[in-house]
Amino acid sequence: MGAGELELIQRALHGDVDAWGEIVRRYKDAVFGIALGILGNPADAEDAAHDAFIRAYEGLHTFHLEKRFSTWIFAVTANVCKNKLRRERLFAPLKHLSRLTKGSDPAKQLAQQERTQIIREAIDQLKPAYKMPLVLRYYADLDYKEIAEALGLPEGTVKTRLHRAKSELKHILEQKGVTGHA
Amino acid sequence: MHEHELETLLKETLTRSVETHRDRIADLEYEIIEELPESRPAPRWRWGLVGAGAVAVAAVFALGLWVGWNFSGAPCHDPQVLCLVYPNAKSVSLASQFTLWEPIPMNGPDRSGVWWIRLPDDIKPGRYEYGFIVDGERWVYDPRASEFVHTFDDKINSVLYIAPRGEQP
Amino acid sequence: MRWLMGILLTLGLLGGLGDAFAQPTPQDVYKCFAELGVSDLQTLKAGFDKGFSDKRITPDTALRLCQRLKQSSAPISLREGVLQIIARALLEELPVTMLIDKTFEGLTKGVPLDVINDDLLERKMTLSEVKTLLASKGITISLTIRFGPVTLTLTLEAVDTAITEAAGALEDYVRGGGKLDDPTAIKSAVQLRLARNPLIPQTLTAYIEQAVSAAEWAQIAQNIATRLKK
Repeated sequence: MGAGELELIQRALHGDVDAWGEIVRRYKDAVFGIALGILGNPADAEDAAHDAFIRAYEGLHTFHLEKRFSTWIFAVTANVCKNKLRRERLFAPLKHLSRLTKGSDPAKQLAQQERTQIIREAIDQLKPAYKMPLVLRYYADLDYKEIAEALGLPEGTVKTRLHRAKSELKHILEQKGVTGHA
Repeated sequence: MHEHELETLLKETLTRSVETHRDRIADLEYEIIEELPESRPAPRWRWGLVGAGAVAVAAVFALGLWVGWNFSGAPCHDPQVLCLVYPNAKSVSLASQFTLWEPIPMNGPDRSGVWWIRLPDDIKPGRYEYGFIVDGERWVYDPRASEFVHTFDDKINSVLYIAPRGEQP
Repeated sequence: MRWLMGILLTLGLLGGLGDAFAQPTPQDVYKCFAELGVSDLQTLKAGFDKGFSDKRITPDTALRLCQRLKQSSAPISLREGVLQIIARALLEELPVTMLIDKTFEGLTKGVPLDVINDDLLERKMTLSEVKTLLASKGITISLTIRFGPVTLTLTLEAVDTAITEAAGALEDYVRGGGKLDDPTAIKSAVQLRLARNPLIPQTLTAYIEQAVSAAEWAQIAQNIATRLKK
């Protein structure tokens, strides 16, 4: 039986691991996406997503039911990624970024792949303090307040960092010859 | 490059990355479920003065809580009684559907900081949402309830069921 | 003479005590509405008169509601707004238990009255949709259901409670973040709520289970989500 999120969390708190499994199913794309955005490497992102869900389960009793669960799990994910970056000093560019899909113009696909690769590398050049709010905003669609809550920062700081992240990105991309035209 | 174009590129890039590698997390929920029972935190024994001292304090505190809970004035084991542990509160009231949300002051606190109230004997069978009001202003749900619901967006109500006499709820 | 004084004294005391135990009347309710300063007393009277007549609300509850609204410092338009929503629901022959309950709950929790008004309007729409759905399956007052060996004639209380519980279950499901693309889960949530209310006969719960599809409940859930912009 499917259930509302609140009921799933409550069941998980009482030790129902299947309920937590359903939570993982619902949020794994978003958590993996955030981790991939921050760490830039799919293997590391997979580890981070795994760790985030384990850590979230272990710390579920600290989650206040009035709050948005998505913001909380994204905060746990961001923390896991931050620790990973600190430990491994990871700034590797993304490998195997995209694959050719069948039935489309190969030349156009390649151009798009290269463009995506360049943008991905540009994101990876940002320092974590800029990359994390950027990923939470443009992948997870969080607003400033939610990003602030997830990262434990004042809202003003989030706005500043996002602004600086985008300025830096623009600069890097323009240097690499990537314009806004498709 | 315009800001809007950059934002679009960012979203596309980040989304495309995930789509490409989504197969890596295809079975993630099953892996997590398999691992969970082993991942519950085991007691970590930190030898050394500070660690041993912290454990001793925690043990005494836990013992005190257990004694307080079991031997305090609050009859929390009675299924007809609602309890809330809130030692620092100056007042705690129950508000519920069966009182038309009129706050009813609770008894307490006892030595362990437990506030309590007995449900009315004439409460009719049914489903009731409720919660507690601490110090006249803070809404607190009952963490001991078996069911919760969202209400007015950012609030949580606890839910209790009163069964007809002779039946389990 | 003394016995006459005694009788008069007793009668006077009884009269006083009688006042203390007298139940509020509709006139007491409308007097309170007028003291509140409502702008459209006529619609309120029409709705609440029907509610009292249909026994969907008692003057006691209506008076308590009015007195509670009097205590609020919100603009009169918002306070009257609550009463108008309930009055219109009564005119539409909807159960109003949920609306009254949410009003008292919101006021106790300090929820702004404009938020309460919006919430009531939304829930009223859900109640209406659920009532329409059940009515389309023939589930109305005085319907006699023959379900297997059991014959059951539905009362107002049973039908209204079923509408209220189904609407409540759907609202809680959507507000709790339930998946809208899982009609089976939505129907389960509704059936579980119906089954747990002792005022709803089991026969009626079983009849609804057979008559209303998961997709039909899911449509109402989707409508709620759209209204709440989830």
